[in-house]
Amino acid sequence: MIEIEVQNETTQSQDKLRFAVVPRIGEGIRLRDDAGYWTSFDVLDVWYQKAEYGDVWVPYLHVRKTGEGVVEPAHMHQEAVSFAT
Amino acid sequence: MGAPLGAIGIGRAAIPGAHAAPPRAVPTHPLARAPRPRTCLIVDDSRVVRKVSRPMIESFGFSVTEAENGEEALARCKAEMPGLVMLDWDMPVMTGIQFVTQLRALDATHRPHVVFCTSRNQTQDIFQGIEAGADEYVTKPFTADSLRAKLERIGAV
Repeated sequence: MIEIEVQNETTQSQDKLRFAVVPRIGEGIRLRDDAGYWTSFDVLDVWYQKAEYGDVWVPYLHVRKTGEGVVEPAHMHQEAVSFAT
Repeated sequence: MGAPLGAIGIGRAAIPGAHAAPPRAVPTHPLARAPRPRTCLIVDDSRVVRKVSRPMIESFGFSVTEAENGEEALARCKAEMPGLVMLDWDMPVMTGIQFVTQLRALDATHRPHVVFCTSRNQTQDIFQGIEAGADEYVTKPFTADSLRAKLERIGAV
């Protein structure tokens, strides 16, 4: 299993989860939301950072709840940003 | 006959016998007098949170820089003190609480606004953050509107 830090744009949180494989950009993954329900999230980015404990590169995921788009910065002051529910 | 009043103004100098009072020195905190620059430092170890909060803050008219932890943020503040610091709580190397404590101990030209942005929302956490020197507190996930309201409350926007 591979431990990956999942940085969640929707909940603005980060959690370390175990995966069998590293998801790719554009894939969908199912994660439990705050209410405990399985919810679909889109993988927006995958990157690697050097671990603190040695010369090992560990993966990170950037995910967002499926169906939520990014609001243009010019309109951000007028409406709630969709990624923050 | 007294001195004629000018076309503009009825200033004291035109009134016979009146003397302009010397300007009174108003004691103020030296740091309070320096204007805060329209710059914001986002301090968060999550690349994604930095990425999503940056356009929000830029939409408020700030130019934004980023730091991954408190130590890096402190170095940036020593080099150039921002007007606003958006601060995560849990970070490696140096936590948000440690950072704000050391930030407030710095001898700076102005006192930056510090807003904690974290998922910790217990009363004691908020109290600890404010006591350490933060000005405001916003819990994740936050919206542009809720963030703006907090910043308006402390006079940052």
